[in-house]
Order: sequence, then C-alpha cells, then structure tokens
Amino acid sequence: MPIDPDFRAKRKKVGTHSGHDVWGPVNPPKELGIHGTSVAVDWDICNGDAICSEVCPVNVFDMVEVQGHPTSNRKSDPARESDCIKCLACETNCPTKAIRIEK
Amino acid sequence: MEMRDFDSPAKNTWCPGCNNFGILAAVKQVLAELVNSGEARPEEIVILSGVGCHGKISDYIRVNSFYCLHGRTVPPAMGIKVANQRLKIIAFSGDGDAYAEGISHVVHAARRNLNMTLVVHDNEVFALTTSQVTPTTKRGFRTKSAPKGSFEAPLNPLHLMLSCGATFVARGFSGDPRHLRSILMEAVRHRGFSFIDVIQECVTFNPIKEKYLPKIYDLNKEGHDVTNFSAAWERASEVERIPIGIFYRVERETYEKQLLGERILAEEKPIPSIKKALQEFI
Amino acid sequence: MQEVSLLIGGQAGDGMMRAAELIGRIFNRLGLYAFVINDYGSLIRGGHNFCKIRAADRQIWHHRESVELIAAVNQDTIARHQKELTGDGRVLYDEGAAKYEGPHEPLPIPLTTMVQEVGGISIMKNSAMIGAIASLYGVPLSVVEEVINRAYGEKAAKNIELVKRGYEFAAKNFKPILKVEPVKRDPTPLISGAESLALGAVKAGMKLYITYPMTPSTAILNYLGPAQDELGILLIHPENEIAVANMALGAAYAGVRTMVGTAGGGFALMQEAFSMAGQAEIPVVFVVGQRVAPAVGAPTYTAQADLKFLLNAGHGEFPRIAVAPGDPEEAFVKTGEAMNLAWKYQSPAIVLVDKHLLESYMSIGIDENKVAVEPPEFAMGQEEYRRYRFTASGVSPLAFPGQKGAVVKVTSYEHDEYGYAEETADGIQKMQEKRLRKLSSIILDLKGRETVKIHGDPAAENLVVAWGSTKGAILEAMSLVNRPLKFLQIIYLSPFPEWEVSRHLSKARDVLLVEGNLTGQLGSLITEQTGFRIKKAVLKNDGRPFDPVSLAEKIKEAFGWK
Repeated sequence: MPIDPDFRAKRKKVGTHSGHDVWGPVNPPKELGIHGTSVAVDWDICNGDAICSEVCPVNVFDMVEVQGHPTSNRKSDPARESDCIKCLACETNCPTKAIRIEK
Repeated sequence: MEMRDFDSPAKNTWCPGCNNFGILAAVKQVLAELVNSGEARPEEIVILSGVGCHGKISDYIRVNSFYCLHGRTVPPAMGIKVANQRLKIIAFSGDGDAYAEGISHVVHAARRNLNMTLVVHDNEVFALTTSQVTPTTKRGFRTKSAPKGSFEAPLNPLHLMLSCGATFVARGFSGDPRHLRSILMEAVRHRGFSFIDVIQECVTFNPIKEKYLPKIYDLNKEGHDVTNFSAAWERASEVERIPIGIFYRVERETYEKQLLGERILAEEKPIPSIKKALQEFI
Repeated sequence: MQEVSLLIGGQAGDGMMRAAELIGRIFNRLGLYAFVINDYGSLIRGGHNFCKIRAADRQIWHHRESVELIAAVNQDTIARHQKELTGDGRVLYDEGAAKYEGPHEPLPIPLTTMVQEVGGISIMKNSAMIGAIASLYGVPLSVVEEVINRAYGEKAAKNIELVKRGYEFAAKNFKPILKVEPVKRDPTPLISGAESLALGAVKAGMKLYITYPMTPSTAILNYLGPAQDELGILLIHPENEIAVANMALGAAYAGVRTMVGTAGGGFALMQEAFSMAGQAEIPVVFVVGQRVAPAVGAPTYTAQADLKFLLNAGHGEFPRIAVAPGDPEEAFVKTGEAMNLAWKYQSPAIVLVDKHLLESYMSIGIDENKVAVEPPEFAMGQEEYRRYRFTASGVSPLAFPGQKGAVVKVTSYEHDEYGYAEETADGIQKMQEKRLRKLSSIILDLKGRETVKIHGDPAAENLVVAWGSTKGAILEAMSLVNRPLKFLQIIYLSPFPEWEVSRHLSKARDVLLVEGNLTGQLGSLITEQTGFRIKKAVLKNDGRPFDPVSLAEKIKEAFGWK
C-alpha cells in the first residue's frame, strides 16, 4: 500500500528527527510513522533499497539504521528536506511508493 | 568526492517528475566514482550537451562544460579530444539533437571510434519546443507537427550505431536508474566510441513509462554475447520485449591514438622558426 | 629593364600548373621577380588549363594579359590564346599534338617523340617544354636542372633527361627571345597566398587546421597536408563544414590555436558556429577564399563579392575581426595578426582572401620576425574561476579544461559570469554590453597596427580605393598611368579603420573605387562607416582578376586623363 497522500490531515505530528517532522502513530520497533512533511517517507512502507537517495540530484536523503522493523532495517531519512527541488525522481522511482513530495 | 560536489548553483527548470533528474543523479555519481577511483581528475572531465531539455544538464553539473548548438554535441567533443586527449569526454544529446539535426556527426564519430561517450536522452519527442515529432517518434503518435499522427518509420538508433562501427552500443531505461548508472559507468570506462540510447518518458508530452515497463528486460542477464555483432543486431530488432543493457562491446584502435599517438596538442609549443619551410619556396 | 611574359596551356591533367610553378621558380632562382597565375575549370581531366608566367628584374605584383610566347601541349591552347600574343610573339608547340600556321613565328618541337624515346609518360612532355622555354630565354641549363632536381627528387632522372633534350633542341633550331641576366639580390620565396597565410598562422601559434575541401581554400589544405609534421601542426578533414567549425570551437576551448579554411558556400554552413564563437567568446580564425558566387557559382574563378556577407554573417551582435591581405606577404603578416587578435580578444576572426591571391605565386620577401605569438591574458589566483568575468576591457582572463581548480563552462546560451544560462533582462543586457566592450578594446589595439596602406604619391589628390587581391593589378596599373596617383588599400574591414579612411578620403579631390564585384561593397561599407560616398567605380565580376593594362585605361578615363 502506498503512502497516504492525505497523511497531514489524517495523522498527527508526534515529534521531530534530524530537523524534520515525524507523523504518528509511532510505536517502535514495529511502527515508525512518516518522516518529513514536504518530502515525506513512510518508514512503515520503505524497504530501504536506497533508490531514492541514488536518483536524488540534490542529495536530500540519508539512509539510517533501525532495528526490529518488519519491512527492513534500513530507512530513507529526508535529512535535507529543504534542499528538495521537487523533481519527483525519488517519488517516481520508489518501488514501494513510500515517498510523497508536496507539490 | 561525493555527487554533491558537482552540484551547480543554476536553478533547475526541468518539469517535476522529469526523467532527466534520474539521469542527472546517475551522471554525478559516475563522475564522483571516476574521481574517487583515480580514473580522472575533476578538472579533466568535460561534459557537452546539445539544445533541448536534456541540454540543461551542462548547467546542472559543476564541471567543465560545453553547451553546444543544436545537434552539434559531437564535433566540439572531437575538437576537445584532439586538443587534449587526456580529457574525459561525456556528451549528452536528445533524440531531436542526435538523430535529426546532428545525425551526420554521430555517424562519423562512431565510424572513427572517437574515444568519448554519447548519451542520447531519447523520449521520442521534441519537448522543449512543446511537442513535435523526432526521428524516433512512433507511428501514429500525435504531435503539433503531425496532428494526424506520425506516419514516418521511426529510426532504430541501435541498428544505426552498430552499422556505423560503434564499439560500445547500449540502451538504458530511465525507469531503471540503477541499471542506467551501471551501463553509464561501463560506457565511460570503454576505450572508444560508447553510445547509450536512453529510453525515457517525457512526463508532459509522452508519458510512456507504464506502457514500456512490463516489456523491459536486461539482456545481459539472458546470456547475450556482447562481442557477437549478429546477436546484437537481432536483440536490437526486438519490439515485443524491450531489451536494455549492453548490446555490443569490442575493442578497436581509437581515432585519437591513430591521429596523435601520445601527443597532447594543447601542451605543444609552436615551432620556433619557419625558416626551413620558407627555404623550400626559394 | 628585363621583362618576360609567357603562357603555357594544355588540358586539365597535363600538369600545366606544376610546370608553370617550376618555370616561375627558375626565374625566381635567377634573381628575377616572378608572378604565376593559373586558370582552370572545375574538372580533373580534359577542358582547358593555362597559366601565365611573368618575370622581371624588379618587384612585380601581377601578370599581364599579353605574352610574347605561347607554349602549347595541345591545339586548343593555340586557338584560344593567339590573340594575346604581342606582334613579335611566337608559338612553341608539341608537333605530335598540334599544328600552327598563322601570323606568328611557329616553333614546333617533337615533345611526344622525346618522351617516347626516354620511355617516359605523357605528362613528362612538360619537362622537355620547360627545357625549351629556358633555352629561349637564355637561362643556364644548370639552373633548370637544379630546380627540377629539387622538385622531383629521386624521380628526377627522366625529367632531367627530357629537360636537356628540349633545351638542346631549342638551342639548335630556334632563335632566342632574349637572354635574361641573373639579378643579384637576397633570395625571396616564390610563394602563393595559401602557403604564406598558412605559415603566418603557424608562426602565430596555430596547432590545428580543420577544413573541408572547397576551391580555392583547398590550396591551403594541399600545402599543409604534406607539410604538417615539419610545421608541428595537425590537419583534420571531417565530414562537413558544420563539423569543421564546431570542432574548431571545441579545440580552441581546450586551448589549441585553430584555423579553419573554406569558401563562401562553406562559410554559409559555418555561420551558426561563427555566431557561437562570438557568443561563447571562443577564438577561431576562419579563412574564407572568395570565388564567383552565388551558390556554387564558378568555383575555380576569383571574385570579391562576399565582403558584406562576411561582415554581416552570424546572427546577433558580437565583435569580429576581419582582415583582407592583398599579397602573399600581407597574407603572412595579417593572418598571424588575426590569430593573435582573435586570442587576445576571444573573438572570431576572418581572413578574407580569394582565388587570385590564394593560388597565384609571387616572388616576395617574407620576414618571419613580423609574426610571433602574442599571449592572451590567462586567469591566475585562487578565486573561483569565472569564464565570463566582467572586466573594463570586456576581456575575461582565459583558462582551459585540465587546469586545476578551474571549472570552465562555455555556452551558446546567454549566460552569467560563470557560464550558466541567464534570461533576466539585466543579466542579458550586461553580458551583451560586456562582449561589445571588446570592440572598443580591439579598435584601440588596431590604432597601433597597420590597418590601411598608402601606395603611390601620398600627396596626390586623385585617390584609388580598394581591398584584397586587386592590390596587385592596381599597383601595376598605377605604373602605367604615369600621373600623380594615391592608392588607399584598406586591410582591416572589421573593426573598420574609419579613423584612417576618413582622413584620406577628406583630403582627396577625386576618388575611384576598384572592386571585383558589381555592387561596390567596399564603397557602401565606407559610406556606412564614414558617411563618405564614392561616386566613381570600376567594378567587375567575371571571375578574372583585373588586367593592369586595361585597368590603367579605366583609371585614366575615370579621372579625365584621356
């Protein structure tokens, strides 16, 4: 299932991480929520294959380690969200459709 | 070096979702890898591009660049290589640029085996001029210059390059950026004329990704012999399935080695006197 | 006063041009000044080729229409040219290929038989002919042998034998025309404009010549091809003129002084790249050899009708350097200068020549010290490199790819100082102004160089104005007019030296324009640049250079001296 395009209406901000918002619910290690707002990565869908960080021409993403999550133990973190130029390379190339760019 | 070391200050104006972004990222990664592996110093890399959406890549990478006239990416590349064969040359062109306006140069560079890489952003349409046919536009596709649908037979770029003597012929797909990056790296490392036709969609005028995706397969995973010309030709003829990867790769003496040996023209001083030459007219 | 004027003719493929060059060389070796012109059609075999050779004991600038000797290897040559013979002229011909019964003295010689006797090939007839001609002018056989040996090297033996047979036959059977006396002077080359301009470019640092064959600039290719190793340069002949010009841009961007050669039609194909050279500020020298146009025109015949085309070529506004040498010595100096100016001001330069200058040979002194590499300004220092840095002079210091720390970005788009595309009103205007500031810098530089030449009587009130290869015919005509006459030769056409031209025009009482076109292109350029309107003109566009004798008559007529 892809990231919910209406997550901002349906979810709540529950904290921040590396300078960006985290949208709940968050119940580690099984439930990690959505990281980022304008560049949003649903960590519960992300399979950690890092294609987003490879195709991003401006290097928005860092790959971070997590433990005990059922999908993967590596997640894409929009660490430099404000650098995003909205090219959608990550969104269009994500094999699990875990990314949503605010247009 | 990292890819971000090649970030340029120019504002990117490609459409959101443009496949060029993925190509741009792949190129920056390849450049970083070239530098990190010691294969080229950053100042020894020159990129060229033509005119069209793809052409802006010259502005978007902070590296030596030659932003050419429409269709003329290959001749300046040859001039640069002849002037200083130490320079690593990667040229970008569009399907209008390489196969319409500038096709003669592409043919001859392949024939000569000039040591350079040519990447053609092939989206089967003139996009920057808001949708007209190119030589690779499929039959029936409607554009402003063919409102009833194109009736011309499209060009097969791989067949063209194989018949012209290119020593590295490949096809990439912008929908598989990881694969594209790997063949780009191979192409740049190839000693001779390396050619990649990149099938890409134009998100605005020719959104083909979803249609092409199920047909795409990597021919290098199916036991294809890259040194077999006939096999390469056969694979390049396939239409039901769309092979991507390296079709053909052989070694042949390069243009600049035959022309120059080890000479670096840009570093040679002019002869101090023409006295001897003048003597011949007396 | 010694004076020699002769014609040799045959079919294309008979080797007339080579033979004429060698005859010119023989006279040059004796210390005479020679001038050799060839006239040929656009074909390889058959047709009619002829050359005129003139030699004298003083500097000469042109051939003459009339000749005292026709040397023919076929019948056609005699039929076509006998009207050009002077009253006591003679006809030397191969009796195996032609007959002559006419008013002039016939000099039959069995060239065909001679070639058969030595087991040679047909083209070797020329060697026996050269021997006979040398004998008619009293040239020592040793001088002829020396020239032939040098020209043919190891293959000279049969040719030398034929030279001897021709020489001895003529000595035995014909009355000499005259006996030329050797002239003691420093030896000068007998050189064509094509050869000398190539050498000028080499002396100014040219390392790469890129060209696509097109008459008449093919003459440059034909010289530089075999000579490239000795001259330390490289010659490339790519797929078409568009490739030629764009390759040149690439090579110059990478730091190699590059020249391209073509004719009007080829330059038409290069125009977009020419405009890019202006936009991207890449120095490339374009040699354009004029021939009869429009379109393919008459490819092997001369003209001066591309001036306005070249001065207006390329879309947009940008500085260009355009220079039109009038003889091989000027071709040497001014091509070198064009290369240096192109690099100093990072602008395209045009060397505008024509078939007559490129392919005619002339004895003329060439001082190689007149041309040297003038280094442009290079970027130094630690700050981030800006290929198009704004400066007062408009010239941005150069760097080339490969230079550590410099990112060198050139572009056909309008751009900012770093070479990134620029579309803002302010950004466009600033860069347009920056490029055009170079024009003032070039003009300032040109004020210290020779942009025009004054010939004849500098105080004369009657002024002839011309450009390019008409110089030779005009200088010869002036010596025939025998009245106080001044000749203003305009060498730089862009930037136009109005500071010089205005000065000379305002001092003249009567002005005559001489040009190889029918619309007076230099005349309208002068009007545009100085406001001065030249009302009298001698114009023609028939593919042939002016004949000094008839030009002298036209000058007299124009100035009311008849």
